[in-house]
Amino acid sequence: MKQWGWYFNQTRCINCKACVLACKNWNDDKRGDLNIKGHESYSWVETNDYQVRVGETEKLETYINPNTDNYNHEEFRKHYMKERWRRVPTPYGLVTNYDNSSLLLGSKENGVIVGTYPDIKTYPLSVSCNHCENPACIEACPVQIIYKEPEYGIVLVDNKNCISCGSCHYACPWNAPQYYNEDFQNYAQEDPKRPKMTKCTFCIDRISSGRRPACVAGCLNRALDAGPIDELKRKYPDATVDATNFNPDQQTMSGKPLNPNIIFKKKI
Amino acid sequence: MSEGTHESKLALSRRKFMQWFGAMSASFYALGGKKAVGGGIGSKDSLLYEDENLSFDEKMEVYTNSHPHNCGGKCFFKVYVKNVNGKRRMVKLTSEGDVGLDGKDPDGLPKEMPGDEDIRKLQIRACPRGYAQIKRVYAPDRLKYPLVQTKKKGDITGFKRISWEEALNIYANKMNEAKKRAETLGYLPIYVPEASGALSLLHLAATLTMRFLGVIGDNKYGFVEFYGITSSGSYSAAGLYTFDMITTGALNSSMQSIYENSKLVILWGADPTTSFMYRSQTQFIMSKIKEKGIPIIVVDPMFTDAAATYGTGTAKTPKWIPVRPGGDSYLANAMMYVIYKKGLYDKEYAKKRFYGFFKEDEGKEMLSLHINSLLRGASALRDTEESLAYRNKLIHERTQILPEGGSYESYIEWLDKTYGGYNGVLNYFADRSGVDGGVIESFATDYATMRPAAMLSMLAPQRHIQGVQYAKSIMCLTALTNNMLNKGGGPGGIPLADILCGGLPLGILYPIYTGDNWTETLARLADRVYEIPFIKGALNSSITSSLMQMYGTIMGILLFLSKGMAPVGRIIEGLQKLNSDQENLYANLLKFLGDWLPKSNLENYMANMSLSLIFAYIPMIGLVINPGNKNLSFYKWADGVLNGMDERPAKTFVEENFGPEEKDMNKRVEIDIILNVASNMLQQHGNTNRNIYALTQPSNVTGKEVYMITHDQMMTPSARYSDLVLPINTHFEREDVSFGVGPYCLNMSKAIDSLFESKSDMQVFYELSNKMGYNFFKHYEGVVAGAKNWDEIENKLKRYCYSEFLIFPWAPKDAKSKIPSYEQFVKQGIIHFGTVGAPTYNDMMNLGIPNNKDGQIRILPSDTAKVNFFSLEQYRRIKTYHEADPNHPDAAFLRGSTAKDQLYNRMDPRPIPLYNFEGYDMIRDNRTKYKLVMIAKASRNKVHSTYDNVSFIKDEFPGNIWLNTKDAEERGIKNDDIVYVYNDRGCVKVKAYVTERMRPGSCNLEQGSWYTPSTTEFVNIKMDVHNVIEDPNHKENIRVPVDVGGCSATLVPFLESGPHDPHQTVMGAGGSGMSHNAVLIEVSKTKPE
Repeated sequence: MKQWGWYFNQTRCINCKACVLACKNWNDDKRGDLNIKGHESYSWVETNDYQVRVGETEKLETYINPNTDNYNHEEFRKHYMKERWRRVPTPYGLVTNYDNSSLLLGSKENGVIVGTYPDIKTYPLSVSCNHCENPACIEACPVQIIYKEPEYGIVLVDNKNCISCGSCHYACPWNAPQYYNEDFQNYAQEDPKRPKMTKCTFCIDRISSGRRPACVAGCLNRALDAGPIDELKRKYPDATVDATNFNPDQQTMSGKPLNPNIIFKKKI
Repeated sequence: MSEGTHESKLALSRRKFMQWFGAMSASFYALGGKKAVGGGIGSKDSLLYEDENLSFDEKMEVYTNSHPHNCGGKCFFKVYVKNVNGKRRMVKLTSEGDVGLDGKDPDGLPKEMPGDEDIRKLQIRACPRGYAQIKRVYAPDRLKYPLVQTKKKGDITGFKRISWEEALNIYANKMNEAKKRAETLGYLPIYVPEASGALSLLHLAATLTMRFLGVIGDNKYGFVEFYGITSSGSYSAAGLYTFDMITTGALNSSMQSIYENSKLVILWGADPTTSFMYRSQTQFIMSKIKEKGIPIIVVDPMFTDAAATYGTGTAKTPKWIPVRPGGDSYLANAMMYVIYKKGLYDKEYAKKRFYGFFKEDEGKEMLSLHINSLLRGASALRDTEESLAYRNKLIHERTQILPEGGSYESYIEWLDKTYGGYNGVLNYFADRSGVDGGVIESFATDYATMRPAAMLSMLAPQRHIQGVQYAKSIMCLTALTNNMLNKGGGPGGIPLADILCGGLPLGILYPIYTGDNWTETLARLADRVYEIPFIKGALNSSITSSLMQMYGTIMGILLFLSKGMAPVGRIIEGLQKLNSDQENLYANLLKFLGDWLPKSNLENYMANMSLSLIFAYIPMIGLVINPGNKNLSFYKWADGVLNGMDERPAKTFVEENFGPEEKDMNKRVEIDIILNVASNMLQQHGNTNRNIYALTQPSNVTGKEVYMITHDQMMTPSARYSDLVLPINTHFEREDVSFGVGPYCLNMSKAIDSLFESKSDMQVFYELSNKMGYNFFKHYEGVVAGAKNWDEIENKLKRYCYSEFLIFPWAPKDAKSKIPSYEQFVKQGIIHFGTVGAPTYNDMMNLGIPNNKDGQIRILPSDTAKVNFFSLEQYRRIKTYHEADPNHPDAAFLRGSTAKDQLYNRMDPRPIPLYNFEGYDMIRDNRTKYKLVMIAKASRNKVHSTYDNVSFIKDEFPGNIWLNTKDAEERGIKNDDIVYVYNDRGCVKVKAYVTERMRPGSCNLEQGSWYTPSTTEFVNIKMDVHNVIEDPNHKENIRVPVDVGGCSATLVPFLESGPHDPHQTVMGAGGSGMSHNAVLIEVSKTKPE
């Protein structure tokens, strides 16, 4: 096995979130709410249901949500990937899903923006799943559906039997395990819409066919890289294992070191 | 989040698990128990694992495309299309960073693969908006069928679905009505707004519209066109005044040259992490510049990501200079003042090259040969003796005297006298600009001494009511520090150098140069112009003016080029010929220019091909045929609709629209119809509430409500306020070619069929022309002949476009072998020409410095052959205004400044700051109750207003108002509070983002969010219903809905910056710009009355 990992250049990142959107764009067909029959966004690829409100172009609600008077963003939101397999914490902008500060859990420092006017610094970060050597999620999962794939060392989930307990989500310092709805714990178990855990697959479909992960290919300012972690360490000899806001010294519940497979050019 | 919270969530999850555990079925548990960590895709059986998503879907087909959005860049897309139930669906998208692990294209495209770190041939990677393409195409609120408004404008419930047949009937009837009106008016009462929603070559919305109107106007009736330009109007005007060129950016060093040569880079009001005006991938070249160790200083009211990522500062100057919004011209002048006082400039150089800087220039006569306006004079040719006389008058007004006290030295003397010497003046500037005096000094010293220094001044600061003054002062500042024409420097201004990779002139000239001799080449170009089928057939006296207008640009550039190297005498000679022998106008021009033009080579040709594609093709497909030549300021369309005029004095307006022979000073331009193709004019031009008022009230001129026809893809606010709405397809549903913003060009292949009943603009115009009995492809019959369906027409036009105009017949002999065939181009999707070592215009100006009879060094292309610290051309315009209306605010320079003049004066021939009547100056003098100065920055999620409906990306970048912590505290506002942002013009309801990144006293509401009227909340506003210049005190109290969409234009004045001078306009550029920045507002948690 060649363990794959990430390289992130914190001095280059411009907070643009192209990686986040490139990921959501490529992995749209792997989102948790796509294949749930009866769900409002059920598999548009197969049912042509995506273009909703056909024949309703004369209706106000097609464009405007009468409850908010604003454009009907709620209608739109049904149709994109809510999970954030890759996360860029910006101090504003996370409208859906999780509080962005949760990304900073792995760090003693807490803040993407530091200082007061006019002496300010920013510490951007882009993190997905670090496909740890000892994944906390695997240890935390009560139904043992998370596993480490042997060829690239990718942490994958077979979520058919996921019980939406959130153990993995909270065990991971970087919240890599994700659900399409942050209220995932409040669904009845028999509810077909109950969100099941999905997570970064390291774009295994892409790397196994000779491609780079979507986020790396999409990084606007060439701040991200991926590959076998040993090769990355050779390619970026000055890289560090930590970065501002990213503390790699984390443990599983049983006390094993996670050893996340990510290296950095750290912004100081 | 604290550890404690984390723990408590964990505890919750455990409890939850226990609850579920009890309910779990035995079989489930057994299944789960079998699972092991391990296995993998290779061993699905052992894993009960059947997710085909984990292997690459080989059934997808790949198409290449780009986008037509006006973000300043053009990126490369690979679109993955899947056939699902017989329908082709776009399912995934990647960009040029999608390099295979083996370094080749993983989808087998035969394209060149630039390296990740390469900055000569750059990977053209998409920004976040690129990845929202698919979701935009399949947006739920896409327009699907033609709609007609049956109730009042703006009421979505009034829209009724109609068939295309019905829609085209209504459309054709409206056009025929307009034609009937034209018989009495002399022009079509149709206004075509500035539209930048579709910028690709075949489907360039603006030119298609103009072509359509040209076709149905029979080359007899023109329409009402706009002058000025939203993006860069003030820079264009300033460029004309300072250098006699719109495209001062062409004088800038390329990003490559900055990387190689600069010792300091200034980003002034520029955020290349958000928009990409210099060239595509500027953000990455900036990273490389920083990594090379070149110091970077960022001037901006907010701590942008550019300031955060690139800002380094120098030993003395901080990385971020938080200038006050609208204080930019104060800062630039403060720097000039410091440099002058400390003697940090080259006096000898200044004496040779500056006009109007030293006192000794005062009282002297100067011949101002302002080429662009002369050409415009020529282009505005009407076939009457009067108009000819008028143009001659313009030419003969060229001798001017610089008035006493008009030099920059006099201004400095005035400063010293008024503010009590050096420290006093520095304090004055520090107060107005908001920059500490010490920082001004060190910044000025750094810029003057760390040469060459690049001035990357972007467009934001000039989108201000005194944008022209700012732009002029930046240009003069670069001149004063001798950074203007050195490698690695440049005068700032519209960022074109990289786009053109060698300057605009080269972009046009190199492709047409064969390497033999220029006279012959240009003569061939002239022949070619007449050969272009569309023009050839239409070549009658009335079309000449349009032809001139388009090719005036080329000619302007030829003249401009030659002036750098030719004695002025020859130019006068040429102009005399131009004047006397109009029949042989081109031949004469070409002959007299022929000898001084630069030499070319293949390398340059290749570098500029992408551009040649634009310049050759646009006039052909959409030639601006507007014999009527009625013009209105682009920004004042609401005034045009309501009052039939703009901000020019009435006399000037009438003269410039109806000719000098028109004696009725009350004559106004009439507009019955707005033909809005790919524009969100309602909210992208200032003061949304007034714009809506103009659309929904009877016009003061025609007595009728204007009829608005909109072509669009979404129910934009402009579509919402239209009477007829037509659904247009996206760029993935049609064939196209795109120029690159940089040395590359892009294929745009049709990936999916048009959704619903949408059609392309071209198809709509084609069918409409047929219905009205015209041939839209007049003179193109040969190109589209034999096409059986619309797809074939598109394909034929695309092939024609690429083959005829990318590979010019007059290209260097070896060029053809280097350019891929059409088939190859479509396959590979992108051609990289590469940034070459071609001389930029900047370099070219230094190639040879011929002397004229007086031994004067003629290095600059301006009217005086020097950098104009006093613009004779602007002075002439002020005189025109003064003559027409001595009380016109913009005539203040001649009248002597009074308190009233401070209200609207925007014109001064010197590059000095004027009173900011919308901004901090008003707060300081206690003349306003609105105490915050707002800027309206470009956003990450939108291209102007495109994409605002796309929640996929909008949710990442919500358009909150940025407030400084102190300002928020004073108003009791916390992060994420919902606040009302308001002034006399309207009220916007948005969330607050409280941050240290905003300069105190300022705030930022990103431009482009869609105006959305509330149905429950209303406010009182004061609206200037009449023309503000004619009737400045008349305001009416009107109750309008609160805008819950967060549109910044709701708060923006509809006054434009700059001198609103259509005679400065060549190809629609120049004249005036918009005033979106430094707007006075107040923020409150409670709704104003």
